[in-house]
Amino acid sequence: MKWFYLISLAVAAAMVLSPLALLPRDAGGYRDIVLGYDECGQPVVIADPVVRFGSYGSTVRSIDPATCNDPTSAWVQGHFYEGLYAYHYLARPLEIVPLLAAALPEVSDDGLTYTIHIRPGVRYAPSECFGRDANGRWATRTVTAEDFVNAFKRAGDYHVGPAEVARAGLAGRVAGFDECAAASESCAPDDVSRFERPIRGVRAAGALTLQIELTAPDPHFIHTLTLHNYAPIPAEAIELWRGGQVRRAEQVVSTGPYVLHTFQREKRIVLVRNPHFRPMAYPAAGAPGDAEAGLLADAGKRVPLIDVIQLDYVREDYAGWMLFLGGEIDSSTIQPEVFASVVTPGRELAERWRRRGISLHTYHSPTVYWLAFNMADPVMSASPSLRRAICLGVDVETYVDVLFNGRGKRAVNCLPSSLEHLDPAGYAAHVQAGPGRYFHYDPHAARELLDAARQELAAAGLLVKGRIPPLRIDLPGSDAHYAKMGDFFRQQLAAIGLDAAVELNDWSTFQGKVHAGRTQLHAAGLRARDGRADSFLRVYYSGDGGGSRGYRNEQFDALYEQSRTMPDGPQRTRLQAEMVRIVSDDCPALMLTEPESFVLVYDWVRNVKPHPVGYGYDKYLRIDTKRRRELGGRED
Amino acid sequence: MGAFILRRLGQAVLTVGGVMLVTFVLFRVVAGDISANYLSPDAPPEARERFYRRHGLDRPLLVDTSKPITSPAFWDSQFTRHVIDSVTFRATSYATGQPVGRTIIERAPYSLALTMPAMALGWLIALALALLTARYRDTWVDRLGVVAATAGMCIPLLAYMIVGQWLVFRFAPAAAWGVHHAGNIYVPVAIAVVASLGGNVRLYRTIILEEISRDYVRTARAKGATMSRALMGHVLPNCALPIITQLVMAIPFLVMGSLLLESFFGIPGLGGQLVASISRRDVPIVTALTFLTALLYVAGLLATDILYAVSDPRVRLR
Amino acid sequence: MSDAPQTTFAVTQRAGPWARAGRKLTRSPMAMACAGVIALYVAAAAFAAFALAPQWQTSQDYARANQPPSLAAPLGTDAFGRSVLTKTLLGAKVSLTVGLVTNVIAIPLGMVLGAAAGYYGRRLDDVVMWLVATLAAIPGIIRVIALKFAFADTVLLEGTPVRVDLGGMAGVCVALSLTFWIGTCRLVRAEAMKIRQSDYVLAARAAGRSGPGILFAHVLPNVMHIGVINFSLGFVAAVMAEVVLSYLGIGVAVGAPSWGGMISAARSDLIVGRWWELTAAVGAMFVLVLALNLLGDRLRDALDPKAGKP
Repeated sequence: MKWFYLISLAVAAAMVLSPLALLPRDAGGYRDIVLGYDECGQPVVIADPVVRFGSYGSTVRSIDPATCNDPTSAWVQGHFYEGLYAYHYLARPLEIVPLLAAALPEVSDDGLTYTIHIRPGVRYAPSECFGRDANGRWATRTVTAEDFVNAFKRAGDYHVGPAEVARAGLAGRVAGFDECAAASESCAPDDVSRFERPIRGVRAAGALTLQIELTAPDPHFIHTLTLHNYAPIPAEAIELWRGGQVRRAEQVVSTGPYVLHTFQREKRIVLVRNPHFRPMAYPAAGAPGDAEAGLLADAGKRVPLIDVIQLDYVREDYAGWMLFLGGEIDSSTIQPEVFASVVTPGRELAERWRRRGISLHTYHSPTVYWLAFNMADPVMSASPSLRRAICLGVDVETYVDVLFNGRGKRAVNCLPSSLEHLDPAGYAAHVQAGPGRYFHYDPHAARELLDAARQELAAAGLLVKGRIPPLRIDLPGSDAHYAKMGDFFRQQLAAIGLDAAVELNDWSTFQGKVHAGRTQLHAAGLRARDGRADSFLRVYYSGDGGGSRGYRNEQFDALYEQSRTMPDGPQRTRLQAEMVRIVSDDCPALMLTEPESFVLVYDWVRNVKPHPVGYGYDKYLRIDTKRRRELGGRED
Repeated sequence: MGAFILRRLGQAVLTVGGVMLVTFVLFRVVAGDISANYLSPDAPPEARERFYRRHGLDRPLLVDTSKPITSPAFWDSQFTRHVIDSVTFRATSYATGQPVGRTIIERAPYSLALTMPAMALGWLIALALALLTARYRDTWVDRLGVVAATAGMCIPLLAYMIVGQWLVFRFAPAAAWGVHHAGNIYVPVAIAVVASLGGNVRLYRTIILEEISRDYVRTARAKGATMSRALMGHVLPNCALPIITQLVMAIPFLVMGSLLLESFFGIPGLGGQLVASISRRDVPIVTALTFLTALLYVAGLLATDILYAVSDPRVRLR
Repeated sequence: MSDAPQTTFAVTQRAGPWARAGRKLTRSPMAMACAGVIALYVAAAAFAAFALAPQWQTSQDYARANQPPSLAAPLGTDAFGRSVLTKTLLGAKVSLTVGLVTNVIAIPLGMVLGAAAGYYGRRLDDVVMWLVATLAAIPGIIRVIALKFAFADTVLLEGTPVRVDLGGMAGVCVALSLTFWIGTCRLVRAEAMKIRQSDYVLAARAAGRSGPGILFAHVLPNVMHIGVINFSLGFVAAVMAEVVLSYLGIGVAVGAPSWGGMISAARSDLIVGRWWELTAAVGAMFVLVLALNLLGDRLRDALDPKAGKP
């Protein structure tokens, strides 16, 4: 009998202590970390590296530049991949500067051919795909124009994976791209010889000269070239990855200031300074006000300024907030519940928080949220007065107060006012068009319009028992925030006499409904990747396979096609303002908010200037380790 | 005995087949447009078709009637691929492209690290408390224990988790979330144990009391054994079988981990992965993980059946 | 004529345990107290449904949002300024409905299938057991989540007055009931297999009564006590499951206040020290579930055929 008990107890004890065996022991710091190897094959060691502890909130879907489609992947990839061009870190309005290119592109007279000279001497971080050098360490080589051609080919490749962003920038615009992409489908996935086939519109005119040919002149093509999705990919890497995507950190081939050291997809990402990174200096000039803010203190210093970046996966905002308060991570967004106690009504950080060494950074990203009306739905398309009444009947100012703690302002037309610092020409169009006639709160006028709406719907035979049929609102999430949003809309519509039912969907179901056109009103938003007005106007353009919202206005379409390839100038501004006015009158959506983003950062992190559109700026950050020790932040 | 095992194996295979059918119907047939999760709403229709072609979602559901029945192409359907991918664990996730076998190997240790200690501790403590209440039956110890257990049972696990996490945040914020230090795992373990104590204590107490009312216990006591000795020496070993059966049946679900605890405490285990995959309609991962659970479950059933058959000959006749 | 003796015999068999159980229950003060509490909840839920629900949609008052308990709002206000007391009462309605509908579907389903499987045996038994094993092999919570996701978009009987939108509460009930029937089925099957061997069933078969007749006249009445006990257990399980589903975001639709919704929203509220919604929901659920559990205990003692022994 005794054996029975002893064995049971032993088994139970083993089970209780099993985590200590199953779970990986914590890395234990980065002392004496080996960054790489120098020309003699000796390890480059840092005894006491400067480490930054951050976090990421959604899973990183891809570490391959071609398949980088979501913001989190883009942010992480920006540390180690570089594109031809980039936006200047500090300058506002946005300025494009060459990154891997040597200078801005030379455009031919007909606007169709772009000649880009590649910066000489840019080396890849050593990788196994280049074989071994004389010292037995992984070798490397410099970037050539052919590597960029490979990147463009991969963007369209059938087997590489969903390369939406990369593809969207090139499809239909670069000559020969679509044919090359279609041809790749018939090849086997690991047949790397398909990358040797030339592509008509992208070729290496010399070792360091890249030529791109467009199908039609487009003065804004350079914005597409700022994406790091077109980071150079050597042919050796394509062979290493067997014609598919790179999935393991050791196999990443990159040129950037950091090297991907550890990639545990939903646990931890570690980036380590690239010792072979070319000399790049911190910018010496910026926007007005940067010098006073201390953002030019490190001018001329060689970047990157931090040795190791450790990013932990913290999926829930709430947990991230608590970790931030404990000094475990150095930045966080502000939880809506605590907002009032953190930020004063004057949009400043409350004294209590400033004393803890925390600073508040606000920035406007080019984002607009709206409640889209599905114009393919009979009720919504039959009655313009109904749409206008809804626009007039929702108190968006209170919406911003209640749901976003007042962080943001009401969008007055379909272009956000944040364009002021990003795309001056687009902003001019926003100003010229003026606030939409129906984009303000006027419940009285809304109720009058509803009478007209009832007549329009009666003429179309859509009234139900003599009343406007109940409306359906679909939202893309089911947590407390969306529950609140749904409740708010329903209450506002009820106040002007409209019945509405709200459906909270998970993201997949929501996407499915929107795509199939089965919604009536649904929440939507856009964050323009290039920060330009054109992206916001494209939403209402029904060509290009768009128009999934069923909105089609021929006049708008004609104006859009005309303005798309015009260079910035008063004529383009005029056309864009006209388009904005059309949308404001038609009311295919209820414009909601232009959000204001707030982020809290401990002041031991220097040179923080949140960039509204680009990625890859963490190389400019610096950690003041003395200050961090003072404030009790995490050291290892 | 052999025929018995063979029969049970047959049933096991049918069960696993049933699971595959059910998951196929739920996730492929009823699921709707899967591509909507991986492509933006503005993606052109060709992108959608490309997606379906790459993942074999344009194949017919069950059998390809356009091909002759004798050729292998007849059987090349979505269901066949679903079965083959699940059985070989070769399915690759739509979202990350990582094969599910690697995902399981990476994440299973975290789930096990959570559920094994929780089960063992929960079992030990509940058994000890149940023995205590049985030993001091009808005294204040017993009454207090029953009241506490019943009360504990009535509070939802979510409430335990919320309050527990909040308390830990106040005293040791670094420990309340994630598993950066291996010891952090004992926070959700503790909460799981406390939450399950109520129900388990009641259950074990009932089993023990039933055993105590048997004749042999009265005999033992009449022969002079104290209550404690009777409990430890006779009752406990006889209770062992039902308790162990219950524990063995819980083993398959150990690997899956506890969905709620994992998502609440940020533990990168399989349960959280399963929920995330379901909401993302990442069908290969979902079906592979469900297949794994089903496999372990029928293995567990088989094991307990054999255990019973070995110990109780009457069962073999069935 | 030939039926009469069996029927009377069976009737006497049937009436006995129920009458005895009823007497046992009414004599126990604990059971009566619990039944009273449950009746109180039902009354409160009915009151909420008829008197409070209509104004619920428009009772936002942002000026008075997030107030702690006071005289004006006995349990405080929520993020929209609505009274938490009203919310709790309306939540009672949701929980009771989910518990009732789920089990009203699950228990009869489980009983009929279990009885048929146990009585007929062989093929039917194999099929039912295969179905049970298949569903049991998938972890319960996964089953419910999968069902809810699969049917998130479906609307049954569209266009009729009996429109059933599976996206909301109906979907929760259907998903939960398709999960709960298994337990009852197993127990009823085991019992039915025993009953199949009993004297009066053998006699009935010898007398030539048909299968379904015996099933409904002899087997089902004698497994009814399992159904009743599982109903009370299942009610509790459904109420608790609704909380989990709300946390995962697939509970009842927005706008309908539910205890599960209140508890999952409480998580971020606790950081700022807002404890009243959590306490109200957990407290209300605690009392109801406790009453149900204790009543279930007494029911089990009263209905258990072996309980008569000293």
